[in-house]
Amino acid sequence: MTRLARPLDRDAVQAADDEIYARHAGDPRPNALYDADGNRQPLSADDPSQAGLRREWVELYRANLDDEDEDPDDPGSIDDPVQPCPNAGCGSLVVRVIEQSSGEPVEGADVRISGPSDAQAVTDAEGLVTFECIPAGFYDLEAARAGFTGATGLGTADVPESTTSQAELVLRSQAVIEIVEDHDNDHAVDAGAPVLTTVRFGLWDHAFDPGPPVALKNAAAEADNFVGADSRRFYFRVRDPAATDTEVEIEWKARKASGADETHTPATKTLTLVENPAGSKVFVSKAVMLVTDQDDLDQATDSGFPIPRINAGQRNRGQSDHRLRFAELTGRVRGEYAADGATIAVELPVFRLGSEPRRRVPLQIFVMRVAAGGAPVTPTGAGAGIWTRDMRVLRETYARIGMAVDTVVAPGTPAADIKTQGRDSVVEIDPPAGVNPANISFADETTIGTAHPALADTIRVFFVAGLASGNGGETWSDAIAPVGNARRGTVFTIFGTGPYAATHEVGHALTDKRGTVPTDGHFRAPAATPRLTNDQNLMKREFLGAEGVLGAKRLWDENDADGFNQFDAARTSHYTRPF
Amino acid sequence: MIGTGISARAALAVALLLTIGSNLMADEERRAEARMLLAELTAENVSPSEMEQGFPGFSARARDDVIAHFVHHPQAVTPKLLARLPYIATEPQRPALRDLMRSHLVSEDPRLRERALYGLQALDDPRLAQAAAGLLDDTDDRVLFGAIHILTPQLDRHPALGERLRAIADRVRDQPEYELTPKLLQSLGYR
Repeated sequence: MTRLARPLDRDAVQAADDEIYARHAGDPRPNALYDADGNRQPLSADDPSQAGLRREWVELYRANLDDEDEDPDDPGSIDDPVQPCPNAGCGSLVVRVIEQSSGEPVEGADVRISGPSDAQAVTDAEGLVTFECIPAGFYDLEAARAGFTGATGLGTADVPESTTSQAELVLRSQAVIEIVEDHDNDHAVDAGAPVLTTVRFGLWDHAFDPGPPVALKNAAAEADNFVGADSRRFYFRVRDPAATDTEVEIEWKARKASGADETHTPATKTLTLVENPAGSKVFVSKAVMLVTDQDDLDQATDSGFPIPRINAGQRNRGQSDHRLRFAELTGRVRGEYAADGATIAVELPVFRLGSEPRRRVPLQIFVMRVAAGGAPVTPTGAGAGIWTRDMRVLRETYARIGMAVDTVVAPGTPAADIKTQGRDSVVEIDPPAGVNPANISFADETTIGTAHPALADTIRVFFVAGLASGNGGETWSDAIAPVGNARRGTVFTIFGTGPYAATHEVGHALTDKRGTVPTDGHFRAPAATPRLTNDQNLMKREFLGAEGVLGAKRLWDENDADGFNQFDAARTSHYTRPF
Repeated sequence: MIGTGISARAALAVALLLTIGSNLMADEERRAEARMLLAELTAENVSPSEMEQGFPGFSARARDDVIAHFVHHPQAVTPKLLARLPYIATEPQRPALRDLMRSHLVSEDPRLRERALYGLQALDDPRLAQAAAGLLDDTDDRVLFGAIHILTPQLDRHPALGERLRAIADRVRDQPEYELTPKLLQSLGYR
């Protein structure tokens, strides 16, 4: 008889999970393990159609059990002498009870089995209960606990002779955690606030006081706070009939697509939710926001709580009630609330559903050599700035508006010319005969564009050492390069111009703002909306400057002085693709 | 008659005033246009299309005025402006503009020296090679790169140039302030 160590080995559970999802990653979707978007779905504990998958999971779990994981003091260890059931024809059953939203164990749940024999036991801190040496056969299972609904706490288990079967029952906490929006923009969220199904990154579109000098709005009042007023802010809401205080705490964080916590997840993830209105048992947070870069993440946020509270005033990254989290475009945001008996959770994808789905921007990136066969004008080796700065800034900037940046290489490109780091590739190219890479003329740009044609609807980015025009970079957007022009959709950029240079030029190709002197395709701050400051916009015409929270890196979903919406323009560009 | 005489003088005066006023207005408009063009030429970024077409929205007179101004006030030129002046130059202005470029080959600002060299190239200056040769002792990476790049096609005809480049390669090798020049010399075989 094989017996499982108890409690369930977490590493083996994780490994079994990873393997079963990997095995079925290529199956047509949606299926029992993946939804249509490729998001993992938990296995049902009682759906008969998933019985085969459950068996497969148990086999994987067993295969991943490591002897070193066994507790020698645990009488259930497989290293121990087998303890036979007193009667032939018996088996054992391990039942795990989890909370529906979080998958976390439910402690103190009353589990009853009925079949060849009836029994009852209470789950431990791991949500586990074991029925040993029960007559083999088919059992009905039921779990219940005060504060949880029992409708889903039902299941069945087949307990063959001389084996240990496993079953999982799901309970749903009566407490609820949700992510909601301030639909009427009154900065007061309550039980009526609509629930969100996806979250987006902060646009920092109500963040700046135009000054001079320009300043970040970071006051206690939500309307005067860059998070509290952002058009992409969201809130956590908990409904807990069992709560006894006027405040509750949750933990919130972002996760990668793999399900792992984001690299920048702080150790302290606490966020305070205050009951609103009093006595309602409905608790809401201050506004929170997702960011895409470390400068933004490092920005302190005013908690909105008054002195002398310990969490009053400015809260830094890593402290409780810091209102920013770093996330990726493929990631998710998660909130967890420790209700009585189990942790419940809400988890939403970033930019995945609704009217603003994610988009992709493929870029063909070329780095010109100083001369034929020579070294590139800017290094392309491991850790070079083109990877750690330009590609990073490109990704961070366009992620804010739901767009993923990819690098692509034309078929037939000699392998020796392709330089790769991680998922990105650039192509080193020789300057055409007579072309000075430090003084590229408009005619040179035609020559270069002709020599390196575009893949369909793809922006070409050429890193060169200098431009004859004196520009820090220049782009032949559709507006100025008609169909058939070899330069159409080309970006010429100089590494030394600065961190936002390449991203700005790609922005010209994407937004394709048609303007004449003096607007010239650039952003023009609207006088009627002074918070949309010129200096913080990626598409400003002036010097772009250094990286930072106040840096020229924002793209806004509002009209500029020319009535032009750069957010919409970029996302609908023919240079983008569905995700 | 009296009346007529008065009317004639008044008409003459009005006509004179109108002419003067018109000239003044024309002067002011002309200056305003030149100022707008200058603002374009000194902007951080200018549409490549506008520049390639020679700023078609501006009159030839405004272009002349801008170039004339900087020919007479060469100290007011910036590197960006120096790079862009050739795009508005008309044929009669090219000699003066070349002189302006030449005067900046010895500027203290390396960016001006670089732009002056490329400006001469853009203006098809017949003494470009001499200007480039004169910059082979320059201590700025980009200026040196530009000079060598311009002279490279003459390497086969001037063996002495090869010796100069070898000496430069020795001078700039492993010097962190030189980035482009060593790469170029290396690709030319001066390791």
